[in-house]
Amino acid sequence: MKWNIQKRLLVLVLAAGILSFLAMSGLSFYGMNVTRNEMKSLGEELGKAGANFTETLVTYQIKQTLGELAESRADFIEQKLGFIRSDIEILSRTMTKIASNPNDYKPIKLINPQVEPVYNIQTYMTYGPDIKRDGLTPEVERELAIIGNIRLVLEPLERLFSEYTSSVYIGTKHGCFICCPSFPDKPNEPKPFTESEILDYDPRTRPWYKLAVSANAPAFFDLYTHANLGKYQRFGCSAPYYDRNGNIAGVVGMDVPNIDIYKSIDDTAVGANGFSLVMNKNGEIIFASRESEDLRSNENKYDVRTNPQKSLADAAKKMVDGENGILPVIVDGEEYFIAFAPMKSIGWSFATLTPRKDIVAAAEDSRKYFLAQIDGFTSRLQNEYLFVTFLAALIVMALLYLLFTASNNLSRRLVRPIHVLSNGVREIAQGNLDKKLDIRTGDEIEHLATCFNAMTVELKNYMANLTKVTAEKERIATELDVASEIQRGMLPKDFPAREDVELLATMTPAKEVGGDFYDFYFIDETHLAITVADVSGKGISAALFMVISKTVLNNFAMSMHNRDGLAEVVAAANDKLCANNDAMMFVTVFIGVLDLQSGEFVYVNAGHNPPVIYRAEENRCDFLDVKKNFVLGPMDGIPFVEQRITFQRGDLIFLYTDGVTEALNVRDEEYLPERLINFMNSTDCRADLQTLLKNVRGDVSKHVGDAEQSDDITMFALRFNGNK
Amino acid sequence: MEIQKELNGNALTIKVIGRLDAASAPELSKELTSALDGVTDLTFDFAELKYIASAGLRVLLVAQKRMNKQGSMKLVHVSEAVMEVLDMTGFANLMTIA
Repeated sequence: MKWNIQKRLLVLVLAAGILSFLAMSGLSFYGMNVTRNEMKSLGEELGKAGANFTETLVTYQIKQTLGELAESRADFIEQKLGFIRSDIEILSRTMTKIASNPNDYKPIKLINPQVEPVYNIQTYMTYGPDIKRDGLTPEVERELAIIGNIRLVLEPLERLFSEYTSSVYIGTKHGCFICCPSFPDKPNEPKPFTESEILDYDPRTRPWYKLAVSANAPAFFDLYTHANLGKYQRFGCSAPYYDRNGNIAGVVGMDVPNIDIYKSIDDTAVGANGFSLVMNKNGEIIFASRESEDLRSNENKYDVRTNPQKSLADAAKKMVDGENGILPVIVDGEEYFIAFAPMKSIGWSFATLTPRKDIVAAAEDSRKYFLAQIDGFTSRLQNEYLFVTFLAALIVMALLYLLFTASNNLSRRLVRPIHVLSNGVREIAQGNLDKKLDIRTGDEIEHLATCFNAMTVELKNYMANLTKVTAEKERIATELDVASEIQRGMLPKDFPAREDVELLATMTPAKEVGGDFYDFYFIDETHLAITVADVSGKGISAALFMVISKTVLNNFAMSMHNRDGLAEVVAAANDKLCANNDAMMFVTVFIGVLDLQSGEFVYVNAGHNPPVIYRAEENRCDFLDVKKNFVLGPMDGIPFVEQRITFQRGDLIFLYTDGVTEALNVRDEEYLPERLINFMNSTDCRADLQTLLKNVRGDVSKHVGDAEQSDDITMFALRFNGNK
Repeated sequence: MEIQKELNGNALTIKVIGRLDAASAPELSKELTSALDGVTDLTFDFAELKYIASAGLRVLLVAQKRMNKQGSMKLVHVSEAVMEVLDMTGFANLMTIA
């Protein structure tokens, strides 16, 4: 695709802009993303940590609360028990007083349920199996009647508990049982008795009696379910009393309704699934506000410490040991936290159990709340982020639009001078070299325009110059042509048509003016002079030197030959040519003079190629024997040797220049003298001169082929036909 | 044509390689104009000179003329073809050829 500069510039600037925008946007998006992710993970971590902290705190606080609750409930129960214990102590002291000082009391006859009905809050007495067996002695009867005074204490005491099914009672060492019961569910009916209850009941065999005797102090005894008391269990407290001698005379006791305690235990339970319990010294459950397999009540004398669930057994141990604590336990396969506190006065322990899931649920709630807050924060952050991203995208788009407009303008403004420039250049190209580009942008384009202007001026000058130079060259060429024409014109072309001698010469000039020339002239009626020469070098100077040489030789031959001989002619010509020849031009010359009557041929060879002589009698060509005289021009005052031969009829001499023997073919190989002599021996030398020269020229051309002619080629033939 | 020069003190040896014709002669001429200053012993080594034209001979002449004034000049290793030309033109008698 080919785009113009404006488009390319636009694309370039746009690309650069967009790239940097993209890079910037990418960078900021990356930064925002990093920040967002950091914030998010920070928020999540914070949320988790906070939630965990909250959970821990809540759990801790719940546990703390549970522990405190357990303690306060234990204290409350202990306090209640303390009241009962006080009542029992008062009862015990009163009985001890009565037993120690029987004489201070009048006998009081108590109701015998065997003979009279017993109504609500009335004191009755049964005699037990011993007296039934042994009979009632007067001493015992009196003793029992004195004990009857206790009625005055029992009945007010029992009234305190009259709301509940309860009783206060005394068992004597004789096995008698004195009791003041209250039965508020049927207060106006007499208390029903079985016969066994009246006749066979022996208090000494009862646990409360044995406990007090063995403890020799007030003691609480375990609860037991009384048939008449419904779901509520009861418990009791008993204490021994003494006779004058300090011996145990019996045991006082009371069965207390445990509703208050039970209620308080029930109230203590935390949550719908929580429950509370009281455990005795033997690890047995006394109260429990809920049925439980692992924590079943004490009827079966089940020791919780032996529970296979270790956590529960361990907790039970700690409770039995009178410790405070909160522990995780598993009860009936469910996780609980048990908070327990001791009731030191009686060696029991109070515990409240809360399902772990309730605590965890509370903690989880707070954790969820916290996480929800964090989520809210994160989503707010996300919204902010989206808003900022949207804003950034809007800004980027706006900037891109601006960039596009700006770069479009910029490239158009940048390209405008180029248009001006190209229009101007087109005008110049159409030939208006006077057109001047006027661009003033102060930048490279102005520089370019300046260069174009300079180029236009240069071009104009150059064209003017070229015109001048061409004209000059034309002139020189013309001059050369003229020189060449003169050279050619100086060569004689009117060959004499005679019977005694035939003459023919040709000169094929090379491209550049060469220095070859030939000449022939009659010195007198019988002497014919012939010359072939070659001036050193080429061009105009060679041509000029040639003209001089030819003229000088001609002049001296005409004036001196008959008097001084040919050698002197050549010497004189040499001296003349040496004068003012600082350029050391020289010319090789073969000059000969033929006596047309005798056939004698006198010749001087000054450095020229030896001519070919054809002897008609032998029909054979040879190189003419030539003395090696020095060339003409460089050295004056030197002697030249002349030689002579005699031509017979039909003999022929062939003169030439080195343009023949040194003619080059395309392989730079010379024609060579050997080939010349061989050719001349093979061709018909008796042919007319025109044909002979043409044949030789043909052989040379055959050798040269397509190569360019490097030198003038001059050939000169003379045939002597004799004087008839 | 190629020209190799070797100056050893006042002795200069010029080796001319190839064809010394009308086209290349001016180059040698120009070379000699400056190279001959202070030279007393000039040697032309023509071992690899294949051809010499009249223009080349003229350069030798100029050199000979100059060396006649400031020392001596000789030609060495002249090939048969070149020798023929020198012989024919009479240059052989005029110059020292070793």
